[in-house]
Amino acid sequence: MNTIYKYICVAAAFGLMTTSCVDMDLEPKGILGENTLLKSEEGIKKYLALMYQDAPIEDFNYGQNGDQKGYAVDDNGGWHGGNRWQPQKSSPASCAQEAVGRATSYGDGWGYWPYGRIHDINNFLEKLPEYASNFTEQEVLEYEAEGRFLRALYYFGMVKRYGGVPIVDKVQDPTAPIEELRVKRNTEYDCWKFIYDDLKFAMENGRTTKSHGRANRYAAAALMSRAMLYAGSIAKYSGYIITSGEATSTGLMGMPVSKAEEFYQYAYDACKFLKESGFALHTGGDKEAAFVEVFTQDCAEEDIFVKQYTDRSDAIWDTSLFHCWDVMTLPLGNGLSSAVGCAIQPTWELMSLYDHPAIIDEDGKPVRFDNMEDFWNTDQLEPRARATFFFSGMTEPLSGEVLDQQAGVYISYPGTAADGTAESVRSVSDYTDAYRVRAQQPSTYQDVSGYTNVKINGPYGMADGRGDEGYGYTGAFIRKYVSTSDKVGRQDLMYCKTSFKVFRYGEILCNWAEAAYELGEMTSNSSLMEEAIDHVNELRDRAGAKPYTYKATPEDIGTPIYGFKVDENLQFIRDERARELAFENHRVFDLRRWRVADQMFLDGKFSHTLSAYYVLDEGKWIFLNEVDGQGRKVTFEKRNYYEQIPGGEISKNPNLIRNDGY
Amino acid sequence: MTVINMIKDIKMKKILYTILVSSMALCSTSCMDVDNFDEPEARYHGTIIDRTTGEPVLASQGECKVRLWEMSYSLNPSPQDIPVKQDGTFNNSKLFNGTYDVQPRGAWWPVEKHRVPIGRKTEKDIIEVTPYLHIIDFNMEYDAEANELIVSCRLNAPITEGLPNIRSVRPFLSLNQFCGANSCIGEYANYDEYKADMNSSWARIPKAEDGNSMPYEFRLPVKKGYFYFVRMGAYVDDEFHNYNYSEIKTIDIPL
Repeated sequence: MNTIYKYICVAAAFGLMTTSCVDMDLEPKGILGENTLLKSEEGIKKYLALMYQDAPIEDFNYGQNGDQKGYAVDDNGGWHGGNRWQPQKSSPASCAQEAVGRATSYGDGWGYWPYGRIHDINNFLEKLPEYASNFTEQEVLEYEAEGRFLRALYYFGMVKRYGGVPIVDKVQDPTAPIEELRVKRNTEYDCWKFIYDDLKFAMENGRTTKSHGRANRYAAAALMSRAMLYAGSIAKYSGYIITSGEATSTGLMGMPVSKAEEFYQYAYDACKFLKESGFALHTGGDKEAAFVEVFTQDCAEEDIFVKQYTDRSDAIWDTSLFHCWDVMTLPLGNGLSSAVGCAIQPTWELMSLYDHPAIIDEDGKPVRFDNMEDFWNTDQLEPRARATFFFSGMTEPLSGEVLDQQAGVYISYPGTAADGTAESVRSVSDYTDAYRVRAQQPSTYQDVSGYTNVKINGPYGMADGRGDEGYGYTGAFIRKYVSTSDKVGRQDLMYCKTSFKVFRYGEILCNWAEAAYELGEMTSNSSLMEEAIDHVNELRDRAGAKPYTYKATPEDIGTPIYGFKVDENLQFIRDERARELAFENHRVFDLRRWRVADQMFLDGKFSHTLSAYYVLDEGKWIFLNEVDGQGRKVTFEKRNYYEQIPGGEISKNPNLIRNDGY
Repeated sequence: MTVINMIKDIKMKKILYTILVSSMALCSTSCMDVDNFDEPEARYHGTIIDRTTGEPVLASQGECKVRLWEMSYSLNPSPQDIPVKQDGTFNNSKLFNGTYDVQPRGAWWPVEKHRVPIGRKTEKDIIEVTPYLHIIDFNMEYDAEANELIVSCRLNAPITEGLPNIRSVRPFLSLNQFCGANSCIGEYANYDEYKADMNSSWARIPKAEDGNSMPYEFRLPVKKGYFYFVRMGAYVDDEFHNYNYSEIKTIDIPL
């Protein structure tokens, strides 16, 4: 027994000695490194999945200001911070007065600094050649193009916020001296050129297959047209922001006007490239239906790059791969929203930009309509507006509900429209106190000075006692992107899966028109300026709106307001952009890059409604643009034309010069 | 009964122990050294002087600022501000010794940073600036019949080349000696008739023969029996949106 025990002990000791000689440098199991991933198409997809998911795309889950700031996937130290809870309460649409809502200013940002993902992309681009033997030469180029598109997208997300940022295009060695790791900011011009170089490569070498969810050369061209348009307008208009200091004087903030032409040209060329690649607007016989389809279906001819979502039952939790759009834009009701309801609602400031019937006559009095539906059920309203908004009395097709949002009744309306629309919250004045009757709760019927059982308001608004969600208080709801087929999406928060059109040809035409007009103006080339109007009219034709006629000697309407020139034609091109791209989260960035936001929202501006009132003694309907019942003012601080570099980053890297104006 | 008392006793003991242990822990940590910085006792003070008049600028309490960057502490320090007082002076006597970059920021043409060593005995700093605007010919009359104060002023721009747009001219009424945008009766600002929001370049502002602006006049309803401090101000569309002010006048509205 003893001997056996001894043998075992000795054997065990030998065993220990021999195994301890094995090299400990093992590949960890369960972690997929680039040595596995970069060998195959499927592996590369897996590697890039996170870069796609975290990409700076202002989609349904994006919040500009307020409780839910930032990209849904990047709010927790760069890692996914869970599903986005009611993001429309932080909507960029309400910061730009497209809609009323809780976020009413651009804000000071939330410290976006995605160098973690940029590191991952740089690593991909550096390691890819080592695995080139697994692919054809063209495939390697296509992967490189995809990586460089993504890198440009991330840089675009930063440069549009901060101006110049450090350009890091190599994987940094963590053991390098600290001075090397503390990269200085590059100038804003260099950053835009860096984005240009990446996109140029991606446009020339990217995939040519049209797959919506994955970047190809067309997605690169679309980003090129958007980013270069931003760069052009920043160069042209940034002299307007009178800030001084180190960041301005060293070119980290702003660019000289002389650089604008170059960038507008890049934008112009990218748009042309997309047209020549066969993209076109999605059209149809019924113009309203065609425009609805652009946002609710796949449109092969118009979609360039699409962010897709999935069924909640299929998705991994905490990934924000679903959204809340339908429940956050439709009112509460049977077959409509079943949670929160219409946290953002369209403003008259946006609605009035569309072709619409006059609601005030030449004497300043409200026009009398026979029916509440006469505002929208007419040729005078462009079909695109009906596809963008649910006006009061329109039927929501999926539920069949009539979205009646009558605001109240007037016992009589002897005055002008101005009498009933004082600049106070809910436009309360002595005049409204004398004639106007409103209700606290939806679907209220009551006796009013001799009239019995009068319907005061609609079942979906306006109800003064219901706060800023659930029921309408601006006279219309948002229709764009509301699903026409998915009832499940209305069950609760985070059940929606309608795709977000990141780049579509409609935007490209807007970019093209603006770039062509600015370019034509800078080079005194009137044929380019006329061409710009052709692009606008292509959009207007699809929208069912009246074509615009180019004005050869346009009036300068910018100087009195902003102090710099913006002529009538250019203003129309900009307004067309607002109409075509409403609620697609462009507007707040557009107003910012045009450097007009501080003047537009000078000292804070109320939002206005399209309130439908029934006039009792006449039996007619009138529409008034009152101040909305919440009375939140939209503001824009001049310093927000550039966000401040995040303070935490400055303490890590003192070479990051602060932006001026803070 | 006794059992309950015992439990109470045990609980009591527990609490006593907890207090004892935590107070010991507190005592032991309190033995730590204080940090190696001296108490901040350096002082930086001075006056902002209007270069064109040689007098201190006409300011309001805490609107314009002197910004400091402590360069001897960090390569890229975060800024700190000293507010400028109504008499154009500023003072901070609780700074750390060191070398600072200093820049006055307010209703005047931008001034470059300058570097100053700041210690306990730092001399008074005189900073010269050129205001965007002077508020001149400030007049005030009381119309007893209408019970209104009639105030008027004109604008003078020391430098007109490159002057940002003039945004607004308005009067300020206060019931104490502090009078300006930050300390005034705010109600007047809610009505368009008590201010002139023009947002216009200097070239397009109506001017008299002497090159200064035409007068801006306002009629302000006032309350009887109150002692008012009154001044007027205007601001331009620069980075800071601070007002240039007139001198302060006082008036006793009789009952």
